[in-house]
Amino acid sequence: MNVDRVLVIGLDCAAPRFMFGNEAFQLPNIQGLMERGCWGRLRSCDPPITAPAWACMMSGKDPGTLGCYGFRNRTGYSYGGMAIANAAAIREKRAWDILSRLGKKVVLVGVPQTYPPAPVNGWLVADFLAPDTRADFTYPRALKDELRGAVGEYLLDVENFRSDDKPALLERIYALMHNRFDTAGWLMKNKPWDFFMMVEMGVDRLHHGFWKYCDPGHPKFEPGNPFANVFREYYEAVDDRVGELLQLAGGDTAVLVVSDHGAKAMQGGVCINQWLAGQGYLKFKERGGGDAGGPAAFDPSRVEWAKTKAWAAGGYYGRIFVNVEGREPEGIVPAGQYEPFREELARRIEAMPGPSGQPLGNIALKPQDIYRQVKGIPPDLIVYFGDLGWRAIGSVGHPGIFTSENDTGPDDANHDYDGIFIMDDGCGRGGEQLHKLRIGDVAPTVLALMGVEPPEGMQGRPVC
Amino acid sequence: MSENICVQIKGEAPNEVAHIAAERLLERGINAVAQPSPDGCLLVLESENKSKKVLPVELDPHDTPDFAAEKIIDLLAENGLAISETSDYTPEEEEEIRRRLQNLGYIE
Repeated sequence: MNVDRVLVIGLDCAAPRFMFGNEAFQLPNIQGLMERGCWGRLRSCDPPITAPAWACMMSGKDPGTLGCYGFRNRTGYSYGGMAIANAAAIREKRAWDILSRLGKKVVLVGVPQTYPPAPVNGWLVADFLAPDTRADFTYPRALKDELRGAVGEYLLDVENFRSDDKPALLERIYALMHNRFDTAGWLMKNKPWDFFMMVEMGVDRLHHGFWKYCDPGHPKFEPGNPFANVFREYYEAVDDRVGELLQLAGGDTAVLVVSDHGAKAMQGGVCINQWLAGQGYLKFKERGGGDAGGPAAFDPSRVEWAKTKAWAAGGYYGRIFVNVEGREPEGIVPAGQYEPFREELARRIEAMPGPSGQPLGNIALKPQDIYRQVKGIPPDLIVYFGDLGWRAIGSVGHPGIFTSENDTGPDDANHDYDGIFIMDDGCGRGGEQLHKLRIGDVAPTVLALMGVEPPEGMQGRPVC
Repeated sequence: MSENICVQIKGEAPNEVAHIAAERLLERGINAVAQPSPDGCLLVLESENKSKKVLPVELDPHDTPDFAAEKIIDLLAENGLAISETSDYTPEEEEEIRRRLQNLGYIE
């Protein structure tokens, strides 16, 4: 069924457990969409990270096809060269590019990987990959000043996220959320649009900053703590703001509420470079590779590359890189041994015991096995420690392989595979639950709702 | 010697569109210049593409000049012109973003 307009409300990291099922919060506006329409868990891409997940969602293509495997990607086979993957890294057309070229008016607010802003047939306010608001983060350029006059200074993201001052952090997350919805609401009222998409990042920031206070399953949860209800209160506040946008959107508008991935309690961190060193795959020039007295960032200049077969980069998932002869500057794994070595490494990572002595439940993925194409330079292995229950720690000098502290500061949550998909397209689906939805299905769905045949190359299927 | 590619632009405000497109191409390291022609404007650029091409473009009156220029750049890419996008960060800006992503936990 074609609609006149499509509104996509993105809630980064919104978790199915808080929207669906027994633990769902009371969210009348969002759940009203579910009751009138359809809903389900939305399997994210691999890796389930903001970049490239939103780009995968809106292009209908997997990370390999995009050549984007995270916020930073190798630019070559040196030991340190990484480039930040902003909008320039996304060469595939996203749904709004296609709609723009068909003469549809589009408005985008805060969608990840839209800075620097490319021209669209409409208006674009970019994301937190803009360095600051002095940069040209809007299209057209004049929109920046227009917004400032109308809604005030645009907030790119939450400042000082690693603060231990949790009340102040919570205030800043709320400020970000309201700023995003204020911006979206003003644009909705004042600019003509056929396709409108906004992404609210505060949910993600809230999860990472406060999960241990709200989830009794978190290893650091303390009953009766003062932040036990922040998740419910925040989701309710978001729902109120969603309700306002639904009022503005009016009839003949299909509405989608989606997230790029979910979240779960972080059990701890795996010091992957230390593990590699302990297994003989990575050799440091000096003992431990870190400064005396504590952890230090992984420093390629401290590695004996001629004796190193693999190294890693950390984050919510782990990236393993193999030091291949003829590929890396001082590679030692013969090209002919690359696959057997990678297989060996994957199996050993997956067999890694956790602190209890039982296998941690790691998953090691080869890009060539999971993507339709592999463009750019992917990691040689993508690793989910403890099935995403554990963070990958790349720094060295930790007392052991497993740590309960993050290397970049307090962080209570990791990402999870499933986000949410909720859609009211006016077809009266009456609360139909959908299954096996994948993130690449969203772009074809949006296009189909607007009467546009999804172009060849999109890897998902429309669900309308 | 590389052959030129020409885009013959017709419609409303072809000069403005051609100038915008030329500017964007120059930013990406591609030599391009807008030249008035009797029935519109020519966007002439040097390219490694060996086949001499004249690409006709009729501007959509509903497009802004900016967006029309973007569509011309798309057309050039579809016709084999290698156009590298720039990430647009100064070293200071890149460090600011790196620090922000690290602070947010995405990278180390």
